[in-house]
Amino acid sequence: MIPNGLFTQIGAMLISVGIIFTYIEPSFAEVKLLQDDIARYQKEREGVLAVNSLLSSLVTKMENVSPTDRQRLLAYMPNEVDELYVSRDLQIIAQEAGVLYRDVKYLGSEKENDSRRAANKTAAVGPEPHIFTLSAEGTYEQIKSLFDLIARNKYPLEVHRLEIKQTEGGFLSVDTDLVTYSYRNNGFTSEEIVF
Amino acid sequence: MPDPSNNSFIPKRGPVARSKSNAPTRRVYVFTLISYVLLFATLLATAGMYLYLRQLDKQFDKEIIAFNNEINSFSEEKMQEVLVFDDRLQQAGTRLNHSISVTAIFKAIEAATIDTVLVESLSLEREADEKYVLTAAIKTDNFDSTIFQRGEYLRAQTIEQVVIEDVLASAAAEGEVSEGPIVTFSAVLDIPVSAVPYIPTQDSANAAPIQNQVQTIENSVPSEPVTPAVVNEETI
Repeated sequence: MIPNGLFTQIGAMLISVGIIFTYIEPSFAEVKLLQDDIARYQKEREGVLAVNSLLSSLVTKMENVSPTDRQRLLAYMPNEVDELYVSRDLQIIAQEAGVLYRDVKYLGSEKENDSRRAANKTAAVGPEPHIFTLSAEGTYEQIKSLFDLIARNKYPLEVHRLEIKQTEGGFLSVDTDLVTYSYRNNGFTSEEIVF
Repeated sequence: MPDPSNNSFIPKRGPVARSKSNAPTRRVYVFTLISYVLLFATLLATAGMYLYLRQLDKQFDKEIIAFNNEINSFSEEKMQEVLVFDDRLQQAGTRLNHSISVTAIFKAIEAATIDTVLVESLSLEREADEKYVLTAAIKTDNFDSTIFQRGEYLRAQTIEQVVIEDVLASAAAEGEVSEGPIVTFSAVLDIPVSAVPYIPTQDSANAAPIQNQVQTIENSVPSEPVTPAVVNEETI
């Protein structure tokens, strides 16, 4: 039996209004907030999912590179340059070209002996150069053959300086700076990974 | 004559007055209705809101869990591996794209050098990845040859810029074959890197003379055992 008194009705009205203002209205705000959060989380999750999918496809792509090609890449751009191997290779190249091998010197990597790069940090993003000098003597054809073999090497031997002079007996002396490279890890951190 | 209807054995009922109903009447006021409707609607809405909030909370928790799972499935190691591989590939690609053939430079100079000049010395300097500056000390017998030589260099497609400097005409020294004066000059030639690219041929690709450095690589693919440098003699 519901009482019909006027005060009861007024009380019911007041309770209703109280509930509306103290619970229902704040709940609406909370619902909106939750719905927004859910939508944001869904959006972010989709973003992470896309990144994971992309990463997965890239890993697959990377793993599909044949071991031979990987090895070639690592030979072309190794983590470190072994000066003894390069010096030995240059000697063999000189012998194969038929020139008279004089000497090979390792002048060091750029970070050891060049302050220009240190001053200009923005330039230090490529591979790390290592400089070798090669001196030899031979005929013009032998010198051409020498540089042909150098160009065909499995890792880069860029000619950055070259001097050819005549010597006695019709021979030519060649003195050259050759630059090879090692991989410079630019040190990616998770903060630097931008998608 | 008596009324035949009075002969019925069913007693007749006289006319009765309609009795007034004594049941109490119930008045429903609009205010009463509104107040109770509002109260019940509020209670219902409160219950519905409470349930909906609980459901949303559960959904939110699920989303957080799914998001965290997705984040946890991300492998930073794999990402580093991919980035390093890509970076190495790009560095190698950059060097490869800027590799040149010194032999091509020699051939270009041969083609552009006239018969009456003598190249006494030659130097080559690389300026970044842009160009080579070739400086040649040249000797010839007269100015006409010098002018002609400059024209030949200017016409050569691989040479971007030609500067003739330090021109000096002097009398032939004793024992020199030339009878007239000797003209010496320096030719400074700019050769763009892009003009003399190294283009590997199938033969040269197979004949890369040296294979080393693979042994120096860390964290690489399983490398072959250390072997002495191998030269493919068939192709040299």
